[in-house]
Amino acid sequence: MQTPRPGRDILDRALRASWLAAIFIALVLAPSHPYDALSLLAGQLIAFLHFIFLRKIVKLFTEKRGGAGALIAIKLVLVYGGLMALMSWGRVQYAPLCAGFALPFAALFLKSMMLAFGAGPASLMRRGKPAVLVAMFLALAVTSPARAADPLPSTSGTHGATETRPGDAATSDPSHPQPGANAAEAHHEEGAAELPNWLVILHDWNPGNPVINWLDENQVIVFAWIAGFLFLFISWIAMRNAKMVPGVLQNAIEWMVESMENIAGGLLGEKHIQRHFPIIGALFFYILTINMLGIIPGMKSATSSLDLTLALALITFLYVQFWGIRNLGIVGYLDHLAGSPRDAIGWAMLPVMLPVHVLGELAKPVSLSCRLFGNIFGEDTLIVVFVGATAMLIKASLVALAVPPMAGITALFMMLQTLTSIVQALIFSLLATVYLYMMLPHEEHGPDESHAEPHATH
Amino acid sequence: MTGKTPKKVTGWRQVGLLSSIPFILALAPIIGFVIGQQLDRHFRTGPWLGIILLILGFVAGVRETIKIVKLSQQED
Repeated sequence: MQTPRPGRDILDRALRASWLAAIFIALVLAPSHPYDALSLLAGQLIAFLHFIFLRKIVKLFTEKRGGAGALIAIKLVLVYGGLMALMSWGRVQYAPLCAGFALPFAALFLKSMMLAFGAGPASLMRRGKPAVLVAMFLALAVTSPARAADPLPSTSGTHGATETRPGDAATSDPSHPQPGANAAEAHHEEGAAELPNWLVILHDWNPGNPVINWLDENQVIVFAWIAGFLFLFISWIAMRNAKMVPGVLQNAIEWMVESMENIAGGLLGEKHIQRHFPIIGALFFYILTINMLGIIPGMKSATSSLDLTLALALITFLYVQFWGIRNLGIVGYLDHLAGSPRDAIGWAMLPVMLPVHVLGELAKPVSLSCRLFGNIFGEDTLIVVFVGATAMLIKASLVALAVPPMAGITALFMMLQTLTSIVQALIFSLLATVYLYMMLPHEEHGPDESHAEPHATH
Repeated sequence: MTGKTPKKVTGWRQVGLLSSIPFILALAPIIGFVIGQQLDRHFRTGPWLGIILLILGFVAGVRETIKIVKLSQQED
């Protein structure tokens, strides 16, 4: 396999893939929903232009050539002007527009994942085109029943999912109790994109109990606690009789911790890793446990809620800022936030650079939390859609037709969920490490940036 | 224990860094706009602070992207 060139190659392939996906979905949508298809393509076009301009701007900046200002101005007019014009067009459909806009982002994310596993498009093709065909048929299979059934108004919206609570579904209509498997369907029809966990079933069984009510209302906290205790319990079991020649569990845990320490240590360096590994390792193992918990039937990934991921990201953010202040000192930290002005132009740009830096710092934790939440929530939603579709087909007495393929697809997505759980936990902790690395003092830099005094990466 | 960065780690670091670009690009202007809108509401300054912070958010997003691309290309 040729050495991947991060940036250009991945971006080109991601854009190509997103165009293919957008055209394919637009063709499927066009006969029944022409404006949806148009909005989707418009969103894709805007995102495509955004990336093309961005690549040029980044290239100009990294190669230290002029002309970036004009390019930024053209981009602002074309991309943001285009977006404004689309918004003011009365017939535009917002959901497909956003979906089209998000397609290249999703493709870019998937491509960078593939880079990690060394599976470029070439290796996929080597494995044969049937895989691509199957994927297309699956996509069709997913879109057509979803459109035919159509009662999925809020499965894509996080607010709808969190506001329409499963408990409310049961209490608002007490004449139709939904125990066990039927609750999945009721859930699905109410628009809450989650499978019923044991708390929902418990609540349906005894809706009046205040303790159960409290637990049901604070599901995220309960499952986060369960994951935390599980994590502590497994570590305690593994390490209570630590031996020089370890047992199976001790060996597995030691291997995981050492691997993680090596990865984080490779980024931070030996000097810093001893001090910062406790929080990086804890983040990784805690998120991993939470994510994996969602695979067990009756449980839920607490990371499929933005509340928890935002809290984790906030902890990371505060930790990074704390170490920034501690290492650079208050003055040095403020200097870093202001973009280290050293001349008159630097000071004149201060009112602009300060908010830019602050916004950049703020974007990091939000990006961390949104990615983790988006991935886990997306996986959960996919599984719910398939389970819901199976339930619908069972209700229509199509058991023999529905169950085997649907069970297969659901199992496939559960395998994918396991993989994403590990990858997302790793990426969250790695990015936390990178943000920390950007804030910690380090002497070794590129040849043009070497300073004797400690400084953070600007 | 923490020797020279293995090649695989560099790959992971690149994945982490590069996959954060879309989020930072999309979120920085949104965060700017939301903060700007809140400030507008507080100071009654119409749409101006929202628009200014939206543009600054866009600049911050591009700036972070450049920083991330540079960092991902940096050899360990």
